[in-house]
Amino acid sequence: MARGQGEVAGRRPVRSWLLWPLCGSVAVVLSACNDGSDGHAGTVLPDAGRIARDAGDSRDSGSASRDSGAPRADASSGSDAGAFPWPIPPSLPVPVVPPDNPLTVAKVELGRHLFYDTRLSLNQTQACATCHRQELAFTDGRAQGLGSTGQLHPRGPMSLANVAYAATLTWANPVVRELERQATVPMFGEAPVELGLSGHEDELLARLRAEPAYGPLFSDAFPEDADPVSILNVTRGLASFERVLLSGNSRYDRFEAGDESALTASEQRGLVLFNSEKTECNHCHGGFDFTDSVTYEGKAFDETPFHNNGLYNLGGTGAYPADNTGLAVFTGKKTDTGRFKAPTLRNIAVTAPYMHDGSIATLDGVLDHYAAGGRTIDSGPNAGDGAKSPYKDPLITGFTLSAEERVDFLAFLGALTDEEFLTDPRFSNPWK
Amino acid sequence: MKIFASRPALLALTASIAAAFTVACSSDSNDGTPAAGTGGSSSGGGDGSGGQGTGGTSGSGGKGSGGASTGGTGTGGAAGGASTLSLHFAAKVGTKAFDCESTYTGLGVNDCTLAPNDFRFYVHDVRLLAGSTETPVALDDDAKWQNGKVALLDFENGKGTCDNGTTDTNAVVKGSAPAGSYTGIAFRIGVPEDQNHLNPATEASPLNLSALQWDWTYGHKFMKIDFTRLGMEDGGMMGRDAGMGGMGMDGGMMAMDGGGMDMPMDPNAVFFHLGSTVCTSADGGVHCSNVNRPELRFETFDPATQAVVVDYAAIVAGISPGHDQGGMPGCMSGTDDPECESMLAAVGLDLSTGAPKTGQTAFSVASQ
Repeated sequence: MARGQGEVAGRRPVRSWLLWPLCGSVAVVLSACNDGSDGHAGTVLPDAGRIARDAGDSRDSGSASRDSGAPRADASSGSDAGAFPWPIPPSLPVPVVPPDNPLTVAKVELGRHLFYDTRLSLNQTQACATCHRQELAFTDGRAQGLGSTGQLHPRGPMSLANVAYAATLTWANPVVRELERQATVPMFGEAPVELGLSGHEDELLARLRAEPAYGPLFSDAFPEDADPVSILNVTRGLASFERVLLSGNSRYDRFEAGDESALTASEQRGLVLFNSEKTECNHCHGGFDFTDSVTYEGKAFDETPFHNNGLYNLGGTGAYPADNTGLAVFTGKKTDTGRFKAPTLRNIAVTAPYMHDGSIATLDGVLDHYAAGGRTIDSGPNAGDGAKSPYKDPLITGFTLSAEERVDFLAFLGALTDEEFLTDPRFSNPWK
Repeated sequence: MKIFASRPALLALTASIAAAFTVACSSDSNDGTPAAGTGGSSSGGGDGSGGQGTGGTSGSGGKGSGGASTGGTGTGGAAGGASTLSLHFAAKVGTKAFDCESTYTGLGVNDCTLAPNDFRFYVHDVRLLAGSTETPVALDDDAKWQNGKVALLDFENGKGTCDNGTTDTNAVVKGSAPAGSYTGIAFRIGVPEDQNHLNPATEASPLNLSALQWDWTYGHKFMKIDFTRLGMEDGGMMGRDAGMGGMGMDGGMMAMDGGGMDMPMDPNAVFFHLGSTVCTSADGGVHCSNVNRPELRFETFDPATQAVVVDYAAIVAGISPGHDQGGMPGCMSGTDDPECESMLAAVGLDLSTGAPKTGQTAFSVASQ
């Protein structure tokens, strides 16, 4: 077991990948709370010695407190029949599910249809999936997102792989923390326009009602709602689909699970480098999801880290380009300039270009950036030496890699690609 | 003037002060119309912005004849009963009424021509003033424009260039207050804190309009007054190019994208989205330290004959609309946005703290 990948993952016993039938019998069921009184996806059943050990007590008490008085929007009361057979890879913990939106097969299937439906943009040219393409780990290959009306987003779409664990959502937003709420940002946001639905929610709902397939999808997902086609339920469906986009079956995961042959010698050397004091990568990109911004069931502390990685230092003042100042937009503090969330490195080889603004084209370029302890831009409006930013994270100090080490390091990053995740038909376009 | 009672047989406590209006039950109309230009000072009291008088409980300058002395007479009733209040608003652009199918010239520091896209804002915490006494107004709950605590004023009708708007409009805040004699009003712009960070998808109207959601802060837009600059009337440069030259849409960013053909946000757009900023997530909730809720006080105001006027020309008077100097096009309450300082000051807010500040210019009182 390589060091430095985090306690949680490190305690995992070897366990096989669990099958996930869309219907019928289940492998692992996220069931009701222990008293069986409702359909909350807060507890895990069989096979769950690991999960119970990791998350049991605090989760149970948390569920109990949430149960009291929380309204039920869902009809799975008293039964696990609709609970989602969540295929949590053995290297991953149990995601947090909001108590008012328990995970069910029907909601995931509804969300999958919505995710791939261009009716969710006003001009019907884009769906969520336009900027979040499965084969690219749900990114779009662009430096910056492009909205349905042609407006360029200041930042690039983030991977949705393991977004269920995200402590905060999007690049530098400390307040939007539930997928249900985040879904409304691309739908209704005006700056920039993404899906362009601001002021057009009635039109969206009319379109959805007109699609015959949505009748049973909505009513199965929300059987107790007399009129289930609502913005609230759209966001609940989308969030449910996003929440099951779990990626934990890369060759790295198989190696960690005990298959020594899963990584080449070069990749194994790269793993050691990644976790080394020399590169310090694991401080921000450590743990089971290769990011320090995670939450999951049983985690006792709320951590929402953001880091300035020395990408910009305009004029030597620490400034960032005005449309991408990071956390400072929210906190108003100069010292938060350029602080962004460390994204997961899972599937990182397929999510180029890199950084919040896509300003580094390749992983080789990313290594150059960190090896230098920051990026120097010689001329133009963004000129400045990022390594000397007064706001830079102090752990980004630079390092030197030999040519062979660089090959090893990049090879290791490639081993984080989860081919099964990228091609899993359960995450694909259901309209085709 | 008076405020018509929701029930018969309620009597104003008193109507003896000439400058007062009465909350009473009678349908009598008060002919005491003060001249336009009566007191419009922003919070902090007594600033007298724009040279307006500060009003007062008696004999404030410019008062019309009469007062409210006839209010409530003849109807009888008990003191302390609740009577209805209708607080009228109006939206203007300089001297012209706001209209989605008009364009407006001479705006900003260099006389730009703009077309409207939206004009909506929330009002809450309405109080009636009598001297130093403030009496809260209980807002109605009509399940549409008001939810009992907050009211939506909406001057766009979805026509013309307001194509993301709604057909219905609303220019009146309705509520009730104890019968009595009052001289002025006070209110806040925005959504109260205890309702601002709830999920719009589960909230009742008027907090569930997608156009007024401010999802990135988990809140609402308190004011949404959007325009777009037209033409090349002032300098010969295309608006887009001018905008690109600013620091808002960084040139380097475009170069990195490589495509070169993608549009950034329309630099001719002049957004004004007022809302709480500087937000963090803690204790299971969202908290914003720059609350940005303007407090307006009009020490002399007659709800029967007067309206609170919101003038967009005053909001953009200190900027060059459509020639953005950085940050979001126009102002989305960003503390670093060059346009925001004067735009927030115009509605009576200090940009750096989000606290009320004297000297607002956007709100005034005029005859209905």
